This record gives sequence, C-alpha cells and structure tokens, in this order.
Amino acid sequence: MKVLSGSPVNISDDIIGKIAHRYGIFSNKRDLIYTTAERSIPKGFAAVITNNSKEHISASDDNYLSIVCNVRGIDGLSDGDVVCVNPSGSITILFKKGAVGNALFVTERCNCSCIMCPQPPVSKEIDKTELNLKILSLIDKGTPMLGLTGGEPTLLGDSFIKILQGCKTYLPKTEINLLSNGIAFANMDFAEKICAVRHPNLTIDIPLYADTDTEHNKIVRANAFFKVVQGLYNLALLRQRIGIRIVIMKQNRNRLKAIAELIYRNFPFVVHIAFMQMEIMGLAKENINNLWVDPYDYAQDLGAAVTYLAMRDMNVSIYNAQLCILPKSIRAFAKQSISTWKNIYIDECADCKLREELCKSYKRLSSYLIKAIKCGII
Amino acid sequence: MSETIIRKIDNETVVLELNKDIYKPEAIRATSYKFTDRCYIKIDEPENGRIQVYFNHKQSHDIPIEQLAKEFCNELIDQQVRLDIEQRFSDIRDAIVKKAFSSIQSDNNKGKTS
Amino acid sequence: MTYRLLPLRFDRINDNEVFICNEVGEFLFVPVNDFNMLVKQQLTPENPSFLDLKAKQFLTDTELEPVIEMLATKYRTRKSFLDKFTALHMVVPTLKCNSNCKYCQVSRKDVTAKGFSMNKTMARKIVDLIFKSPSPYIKIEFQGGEPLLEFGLIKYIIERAEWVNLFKKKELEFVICTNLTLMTNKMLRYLKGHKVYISTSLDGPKDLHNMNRPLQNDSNSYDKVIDKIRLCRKVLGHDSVSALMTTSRYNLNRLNDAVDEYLKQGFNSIFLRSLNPYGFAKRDGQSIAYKIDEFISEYKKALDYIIDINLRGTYFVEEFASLLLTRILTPFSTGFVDMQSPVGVAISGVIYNYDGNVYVSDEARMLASTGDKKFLMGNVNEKSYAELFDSEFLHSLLSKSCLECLPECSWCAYQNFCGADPVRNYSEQRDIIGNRTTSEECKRNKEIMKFLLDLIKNGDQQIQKVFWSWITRHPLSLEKEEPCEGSIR
Repeated sequence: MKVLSGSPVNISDDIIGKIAHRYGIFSNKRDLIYTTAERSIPKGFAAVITNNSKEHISASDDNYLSIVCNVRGIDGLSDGDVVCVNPSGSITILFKKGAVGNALFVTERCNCSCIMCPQPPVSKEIDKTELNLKILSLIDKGTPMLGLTGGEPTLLGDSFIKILQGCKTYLPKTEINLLSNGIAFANMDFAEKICAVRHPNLTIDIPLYADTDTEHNKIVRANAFFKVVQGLYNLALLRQRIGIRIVIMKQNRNRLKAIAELIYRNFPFVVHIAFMQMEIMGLAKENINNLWVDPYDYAQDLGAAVTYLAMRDMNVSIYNAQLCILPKSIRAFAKQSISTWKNIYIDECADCKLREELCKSYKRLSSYLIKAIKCGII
Repeated sequence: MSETIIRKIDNETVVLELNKDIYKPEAIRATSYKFTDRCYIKIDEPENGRIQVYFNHKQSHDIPIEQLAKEFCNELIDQQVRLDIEQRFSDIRDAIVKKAFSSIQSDNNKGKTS
Repeated sequence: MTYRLLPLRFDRINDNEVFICNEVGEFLFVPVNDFNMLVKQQLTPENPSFLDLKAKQFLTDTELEPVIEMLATKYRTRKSFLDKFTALHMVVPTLKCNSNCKYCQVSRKDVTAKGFSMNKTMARKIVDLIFKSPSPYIKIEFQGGEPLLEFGLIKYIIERAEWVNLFKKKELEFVICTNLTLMTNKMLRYLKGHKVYISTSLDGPKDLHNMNRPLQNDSNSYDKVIDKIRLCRKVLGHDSVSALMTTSRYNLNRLNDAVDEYLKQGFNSIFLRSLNPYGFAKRDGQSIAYKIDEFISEYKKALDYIIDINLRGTYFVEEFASLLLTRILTPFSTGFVDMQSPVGVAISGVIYNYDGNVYVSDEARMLASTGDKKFLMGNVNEKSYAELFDSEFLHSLLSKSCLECLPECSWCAYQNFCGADPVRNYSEQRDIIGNRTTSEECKRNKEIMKFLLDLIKNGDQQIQKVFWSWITRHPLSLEKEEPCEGSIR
C-alpha cells in the first residue's frame, strides 16, 4: 500500500476517513479527511491533510483539530480514497478510488507458510473487525471490484462472516474477490455460513501449486492439499463461484500442464484459472534462489497449460506477465492485474509498442535476469 | 519341473502344461475364454499339480496352432497380473462405488422420512 | 511397499507401452518397464511416471480416504446419466412406409396396409405413461415406418404432451425421424409452431442414396429428399434438420463421397453408423452386409478424411468419434442409450409401438418385428408404469448389462468408454451376456477407440484442436503456436 508522510498535529489514535477536497452542507464531515493546499483549515472533519507547514495555516479551534502538515505528494490523494492517518503522521492509502487491485487486508495471520509468501504472517494481532467494517462503509459504492485478503481471512471465523456481511451491506454492487487457501471450507458448516451471507457477487480464489498432495504441501508447508480439495467440493456443492490461482516457480514450472489437467478433470466447475508470475516480496525475495525461474524459460510450458484449458472452454488468465515474452498465441490471456503504482518499465521497454496494451514489468524485477529484452521486432 | 511345456500331439493339436503354483485357475480360465474364437480349448487337471490346456485347430483360422499356444502364454501373464492387482484393490473399488452412490442413498432415506 | 496400488485396467498396446485406465476414465500411456515396476510395487518417486500416476489416482503413497473421495466424485459424475431415469421416449405412430430401404430394420408395411397405425386412445395412454417418468427432461421422438403418414396422430400426441406438461412442467422436446419425402409447407408451419426438430436419412450422393433408399414408387428418392431439406430449412431455419447415414455394402467404400455430400448440403456433422443386424438387414445380409473388419478400415479412412477437412478450415464433426472423444477426454457423463453401462434399455430410452407394446429399445422392437418378442416389457393397455418399468424382467436384464460385471469387459482397459448391448448380443449370439471374442460390436468399438487414442497419444496440436472443437461443439482457431518474439538472449 502506498504511504505518504507528514508532521502530525493532535493525532492520538489511528484515524480512518475518506479523502475530500471539497465539502458542502450535506457532507458527513466526521467520515471525511479534508485535503487542501489552502492555508485556511475548516473544522468538523475527522482530520485534515495539507502540504503547508504548521506555521502557515490558520484554523479556529486548532487545539482540537487533527492535522497532518508538510505532506509531500499530496496530489497522490484523490476524492474517494480511503486512508488511515497514523499518530506518527504517516498516511496509508487503504483504498484508491478507480485503481485496479484494491484489497482489504483483513488479517495478517495465516495457517500456511508458503515458501514464496509476499506477506509473511504474524502469529498475534489485535481485532480489526470494527476497523475493517468502517473502511467498508467508506469505500465508494460504485467500486467495481474489491479483494479480501491477508494472511488467511477465514481464520477470523465469525468475525470474517461479519466482514462479508459488511461487504453485502455497504458494497452490494461490488465484485468481492476473497483470496483464501481454501482449508477452512473443508468444514461444510463454515462453507455454508459463508454462502449463507449471499453476497450477490462473491468469488473465492484459491491457490493450487501442484497436482499432487506431496508437492503442494511442500510449497505451502502445511498438510493442506486434501483439505483444499474437500473445500473446493463443498463450495461447488453450494454453487459458490470459485477461481484457482497458480503461482509459477521453480518447483512447479514443469507441471503446469499437469496442474491444468488436474483442474479440468477434478474441478471443472471453477469459473476462472489464473497463472501468475511470482511477486518478489517478503519470503519470495528471501528464498529467491530456490524459487526463481525466468518467465522466458517457462513460456512454452505456460503456453501449453493455457492452451490446454482454453481448448476445453475453461476461463483462463495470465497475471503479472510481460507480454513480449509470452508466446503470441497466449497473449490475449494476459490481464491487467497489478495495482497501477506497482508497474514500472525497465529502460529497454521505453519504445515498446505493446506498452499501451498492458505490457507491465515489476519493481526490482530487472535485477532478476529476465533475459535481455530487445523489443525492436514488435 | 516348474517350467511351462508346449507339447505337440498332432498337426491339429498341442497341449500346454502349466504350473498351478504360478498360474491360478482363474487366470487360465480367463485366458482360455479369450482364445475360444481362434481355436477349440479343453482344460484338464491331472494329479501331478499341473494344468493341461489342449488347443485344437479351428478351420476358420490360419494361425499355426503352436503360435496360438505361445500367444496364450503371453496373455496368461497379463491375466495373472490382473488377478494379482485385483486382489490388492478390489476393496478400494467397492469403496469408491459405495461412496459415489452414498449421497443418493441418503437422499432416498430423507425422502422416506419426510 | 511405498505406495498403494489403486484400481486400474491395462492393455499392452505394443512392445514399449502399456495403456492404463481406471474407474473414472483417467488414462496414461506408460513405458512397459515402468508398468512392470508399478504392478510389482517397485516404482520409486524418482521415476518420471510416478507423479503422473499419482495425480491421476493410479497409486497413492500418502493418504487413501481423500483419494477415494476424489475417485467417488468423478465416478458419480460419469454415471450421472442414470440420475434422472428415462428421458428419451420413442413413439411409433405407424409401421406404414412409402420407402423401400434395402436395409429396413423394422419390417415396414405398405402405405395401404391396414391395422398398423396407432389410434387416439392408445396415443393418449402412451403420452400419459411417458409423463410418469421422473426425468425433468423429456424428448419424444417419432419413429416408424414413416411418421408423416399419420400426421394427424403426430399433432394429437404433440398437443396432448404439451397439455399434460402444463402441469408436469418438464423440459419438453420433439423430434421427427422421417424420410422427408412427404413433408409439406403446411406440416412445416405446424412443426415450427411447436418447435419440432427433424432428423432424416441421407446415405450419400444421388447414386448411393438411391441405391440404399429407393421409394416404393420411385427409385429416385434423392431429389425429393434434397428438395425437402431445403424447404425445411426455409421454414424452420438452417439448423432444424439433422441427417444420419447408414452404411451398407453399397456405400461402404465411398464414405468420403457421403461426407462430401453432407458438406454440399450444408450439414456440419455426420454419424458414420455401421449396419444394425435386424429386419431386412439381417434377412438380406448376403447382399447388403459386410464384415466388421471392412467397416473399421473404411471408417478410419473416412475419419482421416474428415479430420483433414477440419484442418483445412471447415468445421465438420463425425458424431461417433465425437462421442468417444467426449468419453475419453472429459470427466463428464455422456448418455448414449445404445452404448453405456448399464445399457440404456428402458432406464434411459424406451419405445412405444403403434400397438401399445413397449420395448426396451428400438433394436428390441426391430427384433420383435421378425417374431422374437424377448425384450417386450408389456403393453400399455395391460400394465401400469410400475409393472412396466420396475419389473423383474428389467432388473434382470440390467444386471446383465453392466460392463463392470461381464466377462472380458470387466477387465477391459477401454471399459470406461464403452457400453453393453444385450439386445444386440442376443440377436447376434443368442445370449444376452454375449461372447466378446466373437462380438463384431466389441471389435468395432475397441478398434476405433484405439485409433482415436493413438491420435491423442501422438499429440499433434492441430488434431487435438479439431477434437476439442467437436467436443465443445464450436470451431476453434487453428492458428499455429509461435514462439515468443522480442526476447533475445
């Protein structure tokens, strides 16, 4: 998540609010965080963000107003963004209106320990259910899609059901995309509770890294595979929309087509399958030498797996991929999937004609040996 | 003597002697069944712990009778393998079918009580 | 012992490879040494075949219960054609016919014959019986004779069925199997109003079709049929008419010509059927029948020809291959009443004759028309639904038609793609269970399955795409795979 910083004034606790650059008589000021370059600061807002320094602003009641001054990059805040203002003066953008890939991180706990986890879990944390419900209430109701992720969201149990209900209450028109390792759904009672919420547009995305239990369990470092299978069956019985995600790494790059075959023959009811290039953050970065395989090297294997599923009328996508190294026949399956701010282009890509068409690269990727890209041909 | 013997009786008939310890009667019967289109078969079990399979030439088929007996031996190996592995997993197969239809079973029971 | 072997069947296809297949149709081509080690419990996880075998549930080296659960789920899926009971109801309003097909299997009667048509009372009883089926989907298929000779009865049955269905609320579909020569504009307008599909016979180009299927009063039925096909399409729409062909000695060596004719007439599929040994086909077997080896050989050539047509850009399906491919390559259930396990007799499809006799299948009716009523379930005037469909006779017949329990079939590697046909066994071999070693049907099915499996094994991407276009029922792009460009090391 993107973070700005400034100098805090009168901030004793985390403040969650929606960014606004204007207000009117009907504005619910208590939920808004007024953002301005003006020197005059109105009262009544949850907080105020300004790029001016404290000396240059004038506010009535300035003993009680929460303000963050000297904020750099204030143009990065738009109306409708939901942020968290911290007593230290940092402003975390929890939700960026209009962006791709908005997600609510409902927990940092997890019951798996995947070797390439981009967000390594914690074991203890405070209950953030009320906080998350507040965030949901502030998110723009026209948002097309919101992810629910973590950690493992289902670990929150009944609290997670509350969050899902919050999604239904506040965001009934939004496509909710729950990312879960699927283990909790092996328990039919829990699966039924999730489906009983009846959010009109919920998809549950579950990762599968291998076509056998031993290999999958080695990657997630938990006895998970058969529970995931049972979870998939239970959700299918309840007619819940399910997607499967496969992160590609050294351990499974030779079995991509085999995984596709397992999915087709055992879980043909899934509505979507996504093959994903690995994000190099967290544990993935630490273990990079054991995990990394150049996407150029697995491009043919990926092509075989994607074609396998597409021929069978399965809905398949490729996430986080550089278009130029995908075989031409599967480029159409590449989807814009990363938060826009994570896209960077290495120097070689400056003149790429595919760039407008969602060619994307990754922060820190260029040092990891995507073989020199020379795009002149395209 | 434990090896398999093929003995020619006349131009139309050969006999195969099989060790009962190696080839179970069920395997021999299953293999014999498979060859009934190509020749006439008779199975005998004399006292010496061996089974005799007589092959008699059928007019409608041109394959030499000794060759049929050899093919029989190859097929017999496969049938014996089938028997062996069947013993190992027949209970699993029953479990699969039972589990597959168990939901229908419980639906039926629900129907009866409602 | 490092692993547990799970149920499988096998066939040595050559000196180097073994084809293995399990209860749910998962299959592999395994090198012969790996197979030998597998069955001797000597295969190690380092062996390249190990993971494939494990993923397809031929072995398990960790848990057993969850693997049984996965197999059971797939087993239930494959057998789900049994779920809903009888969906296909064939009705024979009359045995009268204006055609003079050489291989007629139903021993048809002349157009002037008396006493071979249904009356309205019978028709009403039959419709009411049809709707006793618990299936939520009902397809009423008119057979004959030539059904159009009793069009009034057809209308009566359609309207009666629609009336009953107002209460039963099933998904209802109608098909007429007709030679089309008697079709009129007025009839078509009626059929359009009731959304009836048409199935007709076209055995090849003019000379072949007329050889097989002359009319009683005209040796040139072809021109009429083509004309009527155009008329049907004009009134009902292009896809309202489908065609099948029957292979006799006359067109056996010219299957490619038949395919060309189908393309010419705007059909995008053909069902290359071999001859059923009933009625005149059996009586005149000397002149019109052929050895099954010949059929298999010609079929393979025709299939190659059809695949080639697809590769050159024209979408055209061979229906028998398409059915087998669906069974081989997908985990789904395929209801094909003549070839499934247990066979579809009465439980999937049933036929009501003009005289009220109910038979387990169309073949059973054909057998009865030559005097052998072995597979008669009963008469609608005499028996209730339960007496007809829950009888001792039917139970016994079904129990003898599960491949899982029949000699040779029970260990056949291709069992999962095949089906039993007790009526055929009885007709050809005088035994419901049948003898596989001499069964022509077994030979045909096995050879064609092995032919298709060989094409699948060879892995030609373009041919796989053609196969999948047939299975998914829509053309696929045959663009060749290109390596990625713009990346230079």
